[in-house]
Amino acid sequence: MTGPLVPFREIVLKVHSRCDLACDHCYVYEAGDQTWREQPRAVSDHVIAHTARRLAEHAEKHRLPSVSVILHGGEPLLAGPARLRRVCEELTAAVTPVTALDLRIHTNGVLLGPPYLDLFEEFGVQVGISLDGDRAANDRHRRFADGRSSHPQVLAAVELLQQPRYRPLFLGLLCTVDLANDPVAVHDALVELDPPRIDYLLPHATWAAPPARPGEAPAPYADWLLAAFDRWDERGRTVPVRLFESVLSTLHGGPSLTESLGLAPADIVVVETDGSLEQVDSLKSAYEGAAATGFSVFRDDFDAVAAHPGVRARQRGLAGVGEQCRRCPVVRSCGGGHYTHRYSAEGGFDNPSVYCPDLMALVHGIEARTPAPELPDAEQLAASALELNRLLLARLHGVLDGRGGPAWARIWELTTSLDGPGLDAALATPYTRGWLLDALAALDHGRPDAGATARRLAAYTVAAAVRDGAPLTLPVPWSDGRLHLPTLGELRLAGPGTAGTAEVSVGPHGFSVRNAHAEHRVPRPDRPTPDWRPLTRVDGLVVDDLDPYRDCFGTPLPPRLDPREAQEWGRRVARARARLAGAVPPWPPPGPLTTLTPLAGGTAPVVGRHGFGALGLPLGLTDRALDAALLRGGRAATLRALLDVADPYDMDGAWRHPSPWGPLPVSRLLAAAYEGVAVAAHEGDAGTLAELGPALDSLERAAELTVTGRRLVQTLRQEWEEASRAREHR
Amino acid sequence: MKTSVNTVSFSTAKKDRMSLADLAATTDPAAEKKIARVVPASGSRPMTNGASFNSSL
Repeated sequence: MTGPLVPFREIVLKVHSRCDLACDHCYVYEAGDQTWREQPRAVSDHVIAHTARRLAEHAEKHRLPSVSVILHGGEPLLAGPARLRRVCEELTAAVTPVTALDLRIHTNGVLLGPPYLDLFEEFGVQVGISLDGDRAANDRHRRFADGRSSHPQVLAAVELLQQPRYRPLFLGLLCTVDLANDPVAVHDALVELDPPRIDYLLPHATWAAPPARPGEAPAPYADWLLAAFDRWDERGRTVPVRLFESVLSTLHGGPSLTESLGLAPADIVVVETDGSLEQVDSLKSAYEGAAATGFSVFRDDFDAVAAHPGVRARQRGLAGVGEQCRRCPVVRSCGGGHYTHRYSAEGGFDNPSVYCPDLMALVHGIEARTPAPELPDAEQLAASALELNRLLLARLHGVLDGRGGPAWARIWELTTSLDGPGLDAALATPYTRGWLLDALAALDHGRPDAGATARRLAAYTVAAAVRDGAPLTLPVPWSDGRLHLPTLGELRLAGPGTAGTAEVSVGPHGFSVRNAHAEHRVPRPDRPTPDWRPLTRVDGLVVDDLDPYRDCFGTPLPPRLDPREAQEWGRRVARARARLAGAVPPWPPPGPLTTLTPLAGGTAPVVGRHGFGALGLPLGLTDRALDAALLRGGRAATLRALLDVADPYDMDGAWRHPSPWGPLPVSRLLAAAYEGVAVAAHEGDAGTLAELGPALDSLERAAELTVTGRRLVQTLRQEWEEASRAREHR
Repeated sequence: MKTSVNTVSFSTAKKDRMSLADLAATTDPAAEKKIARVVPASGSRPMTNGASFNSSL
């Protein structure tokens, strides 16, 4: 695998190689690998010191914001409080000067008591416990070597962690699935212990040693997990379950949350008690030595392990799973399952999981149980777009972090005092997005104009004050000879190419602008003066050929229109919109477009890098062309607005889908189908409608789609079917 | 596919929204995710977590 190394973020430190239980499902002692027998019982001072040093070096080299060290085994508590204290002290001393250290321990809980918990409290070590359910369930596997139940001791450990003093240390409960245990009873038993979180693990198995599958059910582990899911859902999902939340996260376009699912890279390294550096130890279920790398903390740094082919193989995402998985619709959520579970003697790890039918059924089952989100209407899209602009503005203030000086402080103070309808209207203008992104980029890149770009907020503040009738006086930057006030218009102050700052005073009768030695009065912002040009408004549409940030379409803009030209063009667009609204079926739904900006050339509408509601339309289109452009543009603008606030797909570009327009990534296929269905329905073209059917088929099979995306495609399919029926009846 | 009626994400209710000043003063992972949809990643390498170790929480 080429590309930069993926640094390790999780280090599993084996502090003891033996265990005081004899769980017969343990992957360390009961599987193919028996190398534990050669390991020192407890980790030595030398291994501890070298591990701490190597980790600090690794974190510093890669500028890691944090690392997690999981104390593990065998049973880590067998190392004793004194040795565990040494581990915590060394790691804390070496690592915390470099990065944030997250310390955890995973234990069977049998030995857990105040001597350990007090130590963990001192160093902030969080504690996870293995427990397979109630006593009957837990006793099925988790016993002492002499056959005694371990359940009472584990329960005592959990009770300690429930005490207020130790509760912050409680990480949760890890449960290995056994089909012989009732899933509802298991889930209830775990939840009754009030853990902060739970996870369910499939017992480690491979094609060489497959899992038990009693009966005829094709996916019994999925059935078990879905029964637990239903119980979890029924009980209000109050305790997070990592497995379920990982599937839900990926269904919504987010990352997977566990190495056993999804395509996120595995960034885990294991340090054995003798200092040898190994891959994830569950590989021991595959064959003897499967986890070995040949490296050790004494001779090698973590980068050496990070470059190991076995480690890199688990960081390749989609390229790291087999062909069958790459073509599977649930691969984003499943990821081919746990790496170890793919092993076969013939194919190595280049197989689907031995749990493939269960994982498929689990993901489909959770998806079927997940409410498909309602798609936002125009009003909701507008509200979400405004909220996003407010978040970006808050981010701008945060990034400035006092560096804006008194000028910014004054602007911010006035802006927050006007936080209401007038400011909302100003911030909701589509080209506000362009300004905010430019201001953030200017700060990020250290541009010399960053401060001035940010201070353009003053224009919004003044516009809000004018709209609200709130008196204020504020310096406002202007550029290219003009002072632009969003939602209102622009004032010519000087010749092109000039810039400066003018003092704007808002009063009960409009506003006045003092610049250099001149004062301009605008008593009625909706009426022109020799120097004041209000925005052109026609039938609820704004013709915006004034905003300096309207130049975002990637296509030339014409000079500012003469006010009469702007009015006439606006009327033509309004008539086109009315024609579309009156068509059968009416396209597009009213509301999504509020702001039209004329473009100098071309024939196609353009959605640029702006906020919700704007569209670039070429001048000089015929009425018929204008109808088509408005139709296409309206759809494109709606889809762009949806993409700004939702995630219809993930991993765009990972696949190419067959379509009437050639193989396309899902983003382009969705955009083409979204516009195409509207146009074909409006024009009633049977050929185009028929062509869109296979495009929708492709979309419905696309693995990239999230639950939002599936809902969107479902809606598109309904529109297409209605249009096809209407066509047949003509 | 089940369909929900109430979708909090796209609520148009303004009465419960945070003020601009409060938005600037708080760190909200949900807000960060919304911003990340439209703000290109900065020049520094994004640091995301990989997949979590299965045999612990």
